[in-house]
Formats: sequence, C-alpha cells, structure tokens
Amino acid sequence: MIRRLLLLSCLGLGTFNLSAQNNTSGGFNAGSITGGQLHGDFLLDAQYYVKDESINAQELPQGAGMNAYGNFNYSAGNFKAGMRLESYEPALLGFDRRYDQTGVTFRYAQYFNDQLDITVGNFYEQFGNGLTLRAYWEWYLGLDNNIDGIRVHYKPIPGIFLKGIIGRQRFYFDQSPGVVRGLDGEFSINDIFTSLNAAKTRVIIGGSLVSRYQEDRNSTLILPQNVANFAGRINLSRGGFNLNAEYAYKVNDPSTINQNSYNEGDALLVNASFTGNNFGASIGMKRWDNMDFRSDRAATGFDLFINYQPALTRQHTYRLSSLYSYPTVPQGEMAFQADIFYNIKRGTLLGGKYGTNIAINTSFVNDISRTPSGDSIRNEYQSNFFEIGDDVFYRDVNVEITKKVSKKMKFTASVIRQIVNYVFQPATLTGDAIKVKSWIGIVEGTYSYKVNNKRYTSRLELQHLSTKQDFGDWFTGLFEQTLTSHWFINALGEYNYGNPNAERRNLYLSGAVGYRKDTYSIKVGGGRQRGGFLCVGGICRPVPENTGVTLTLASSF
Amino acid sequence: MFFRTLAILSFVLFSSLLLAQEKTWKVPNVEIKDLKNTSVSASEIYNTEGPTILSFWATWCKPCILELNTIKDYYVDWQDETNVKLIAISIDDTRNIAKVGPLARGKGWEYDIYIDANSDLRRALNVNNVPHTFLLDKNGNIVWQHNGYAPGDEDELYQKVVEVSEMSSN
Repeated sequence: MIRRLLLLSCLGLGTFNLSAQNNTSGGFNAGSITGGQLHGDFLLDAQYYVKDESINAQELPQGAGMNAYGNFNYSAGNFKAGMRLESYEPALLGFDRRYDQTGVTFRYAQYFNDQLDITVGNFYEQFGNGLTLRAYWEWYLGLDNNIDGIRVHYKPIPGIFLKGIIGRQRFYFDQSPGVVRGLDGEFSINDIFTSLNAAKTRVIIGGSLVSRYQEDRNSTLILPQNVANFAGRINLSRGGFNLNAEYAYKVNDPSTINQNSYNEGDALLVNASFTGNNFGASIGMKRWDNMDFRSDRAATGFDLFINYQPALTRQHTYRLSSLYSYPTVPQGEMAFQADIFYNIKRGTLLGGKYGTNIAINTSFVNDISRTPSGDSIRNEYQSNFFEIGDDVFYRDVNVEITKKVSKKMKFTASVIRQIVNYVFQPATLTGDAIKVKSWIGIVEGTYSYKVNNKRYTSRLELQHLSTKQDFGDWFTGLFEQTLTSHWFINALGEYNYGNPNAERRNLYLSGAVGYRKDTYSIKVGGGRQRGGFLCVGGICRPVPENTGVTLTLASSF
Repeated sequence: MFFRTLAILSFVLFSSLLLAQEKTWKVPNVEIKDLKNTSVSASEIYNTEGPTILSFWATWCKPCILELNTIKDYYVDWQDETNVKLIAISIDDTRNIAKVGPLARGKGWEYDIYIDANSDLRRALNVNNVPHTFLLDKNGNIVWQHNGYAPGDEDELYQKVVEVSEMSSN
C-alpha cells in the first residue's frame, strides 16, 4: 500500500513537472517551485535460474530473482529533494538475503546557496581520501552505507570548505546500531591568501574527525562506547607534479574484525604522480594497521563501513585477469604500487602510423609486522611502522600495449603475472585458503567497417590463465558485434580445461543481445555463468555458478 | 510478487520515458576536483565558446577509454569545425585517483580532466553507469545524453555536436 502511494506521488510529481517545464527556458527560476525539474534513473537486473547438474549451478526457491532501483531527484531554485525505491524480489544469487524486500532506501531534502548547503535525510559523503569517512553506493556490489541524518557544507570564504555530519548508516533495509558524527575542514592556501593566487606551487591542507557512538552491552569486556578517528592531509602540486598524503589515527576499537584487539589503529596513504606530454607516471604507498572502522563493532563482510580501505593494486577488468582479485586485508597491509603510461608518437619507428600506447603497472602487498605485547586477553601487539611483514598478500606485474594498425583495426595485448594469497581471506573458487600464482595472457582485436555508410564493429578477446593451484588453467573467448548503431550481440565462452578434477573441466557458454539508444538500454541474455568474485575497490562479492536467462533494463532521464 | 514488482517498475520506467521529453536543464552546483586536487563547481566548467561534451569515465572502464581514445583522433578537427570542448570527468575513487592524470596524458588526451571521487556529480546527474556522455550548448544547457559506448557512436555524437553548434551560432 505504502509502495503504491509512493509510486503515485512520484508520478504525480512527474506530471506536475511536465506542465511546469513548458514555461521555463533552461535557467532555474530561483526560489520559485514552478521552475522545477524532475530527473532520475532506473536500473533492473533480473534472472531466471534453471537446473544444471553438470555444473554446480545454484538456484533460487522463487525461480527468478530481480534487483532494481529507481532514483528520482526534484530540484527547484535552491531546493532539492529526492528518493530511491529499491526492490529485490528476491535478490539475485550472490547478494545478501537481508535485501529480499522492496522499499524506500534513500530520501532527502536539501537547501543550498553559494555558501551553505544543508541536507536532511539520506546522504553520501567523503572526507579527504576516505580514511575517516566514506559513505558511498556501489550498486553491483550491494554496498550502500549512506547516512541518514543531517549534513552541512559551509564555505565562509573562497578556499575554505567546512563539513559536518551526524546520523546512522543504512544496514540493508534497517539502520546501524551506532551513531556516526564527523567534522572536516579543507583549506586551499592559494585561494585563501590572494598574494598566493598566482603561485606555481599549490598547497591544500585538510583535517577530519569522525566519531562513532555505540552502547557497550558486553558482560565480560569493557568496550569503548565512543571511538574517534582523526586524520590530517596535504596536497602539493607544481606543474605536472602532484603529491597527496594523508595520515589517520583511530583510538582503540575492539571489534569482531580485529578479534577484540585493544590496539589503536593508524594508516598512511601517499600518492605521487607526474604528467608530461604523452607521458604519465604514479607511485603510491599505503600502510594500514587495524583501521577497520564500522558503525557496529560486530559487523563483518562489507556491512556498515564508516571509512574506506582502498586497495593499492590495479583494478583489472578482463574476465581472467580479475578471476583472482585481491580483497584488502582490513587487519593490516604494507602496499606499494607504480604505474607508467606512455604514448609513442605517430610517425616514429615504434609509433608507426597511428602511435603505440604502453601501460606498465606493478604492485606489492605484504602484511605488517606484529609482536604480541601486553595483555593477551586484550589481544595487543606492537608493530614497527616502517617494517614490512613476512607474509606475502599480493604481487602483480602487468604490461599492456595498445596499437592501432590501420583506420579499421586496433589491437591490445597484455601479459600479467599475479600472486594472490587467500590464506587471510579465503576467496578462491574451491574455498580453500591457498596462494594462487598465475600467468595471464590477453589479446584483443577490434575491426570496424562501413557498409552502406553504416558502421559495424567486431571485437574479439582471447584470454588464457595458467596456474597450478585452485581450478587450474582457463581459456576465455569473447566476441562482440554491433549490428547497427543501436543493436549489439555478444557471445562468451569460458573453458576450465586445466581443472585437476577431470569431471569438473566445464565449458561455460553464454550470449546476449541488446538494444541501446540515448540513455535507454535493454539486454536479454542466457547461458551458463562460472562462479567467481565481483570486486570493486578491493571489496569482493561472490557470484555463484548458475545457468539461466537474464534481463537488464536501464534508463536515465 | 516478482512479476507484479517487475510490472510496477516497468511502468515507472516507461512513464519516466514519457516525462523525459524536451527539457533543458543544467549541470548542478556540485564540487568536483581538478588534477591539482582543487575544488571546482561542476556548474561552472562548461565551454562558453561552443558546445561541451561532458564525458563520465573511469580508469578501469574499457569502453570509456575506447571512446575517449577514438575521439582523440578526431578532436582537433572537431574543435576547428565546431569549437567543441571535451571535459572528461573521472569517477575513480581514492584507489585510482593518482592514475587519472598520468593515464590521460599517457594516452595523449588533451581534454580537461576532473575527478568526481565519491560520485557526487554522477548521482546528481543520474548516471547509472559509465561511460555516459552529456552534450551541453554554450549556455550550459544539457541538450542530449547517451549511455554506453560502442565503436561508431562517436559519429552520432559528432552529428549532435554539429547541430548544437549551428543552433548556438544562429
């Protein structure tokens, strides 16, 4: 009933909007509701699962699953309001069952002018690099830690940005037991002092404080009810050079993730980058010690994060290069990463007629060092800040070369060496806690041609992964074809031919056909899906093996 | 339950399509960062001399990079013919921010690059997936948008750019 009312009110708002827009010519009519605009977006992913005994296909008792949302934002002058309706009836396989509902998960009202911005209701926010606070939404992961409360942004003078927030976080269709409170200030030195406006070196400094309150109901341990997390940051830039550093410190916060350790936590994140003409490079380092921070100390998985734990590794996108993704280890990490991007100009020996593009990336992640100390019940340890621990978590070296050989043809080739240690976070296909070492080779070719002045494009990807661990060797082939500018089809085949268990050497075939125009798209697919992990930003969600028919609808307006 | 919800949501979708006709709107006042990490209001970045292509992308998004690489080859000609400017807004978060500038310059892109690290602008413009491209006239009005990229889509984009540039010069 409530759902229907909301739906009707949305549509009502929309109709009103349509009539309101006839008499506006683009600009907002400040302060007047008649200049309003309604915009939104909509996404629906549905799948019907079928029985498939030759693979370990999972099914849903309801037969089909569906994840869908609709966002509606209404704005008029200095006022904005909106809501999101989410529906999981039931959620697709791989999503938490606590999602199996339909309801409003986000609604807000906002007033803003040039200096002040006040939001009541749900909001997203990030302080600095997110080491103290990051509320964000990652639909495909099923992650939404938005805060329901009050947020204020204030810009007293140019170059000063102040933020304050308070509220409780979203927990599926419920709220966090803990309250999150935070303050952040950012000062752009060159903008504050007019004498430095034109200076070549630009300096921005900032600081934040985020605190969580959660009642202590533990009968054996005395748990801190207020846990504070502070951070300071600096950004220096000159010409093509940029340096960004942030250090965060968290008071003791015994939790399920850190096995009730009373240690304090700290984190250091440093990134430097350089950009030149046809050239760019970046290096980064991260030290992370016991900085998992959530609005419920008993939360695990990716429930109720208050801060963000960025993985300092390349975010691979091909099917096989992301088969063994690295999930960050929240207890502690020493990580290093370097990237080089270079465009060899056209007309040179290596550049050829159209130029050649090279990208090299490497990353290194180990544990931090720990020596047990103090009270063992309090699970305390000492850690030398600069010492790298012995346990290897992740190694990655990869090279990618992209080359356009003619007006119609283009190639990309990659070689990747990966070592992923799942001993600390079991995430292999077999579920065993092992170290997976793999070599991956990928070749991709695109061929574009015109028939009757209409453009058609074919794209083929061939990928191979070889490893002696887990499920062994894989071969993947993907073919995509655009039929006209709006229609496309694709076919994907994945063959686990090197599985040590001969009965599990499965072939996974699937295909899809889709139509896309402006901001609307529809895609229908079917076939077998191999199991694996979908990872975004170091957080991974399992996708079980399944067979079935899929439907995807998307639009924005 | 499943089919009823599906029906309701489809109804919402299609009624929203009907409502989506003929409207002019602008990029909202949301703070994004330039490559020097300085805050800039997204409502102020459009090109006042001609059309603006506002392209949402990410370092991990292959079709996005394909699109921006393809346009690179035509960009000088497009600029000469229509005065168009391409502004590429990366939705990369803290994990990949340091790579955004190096990747763009290392691919030889001469676009203006901004970073929307917590997807604030992306949500404000209801972008559900990257790549997503908006076309603005020289007054900053959003006149067209397109989601996704398949090779050849740049032909349609350029056709729209030409229309907008002719419209504004009248």
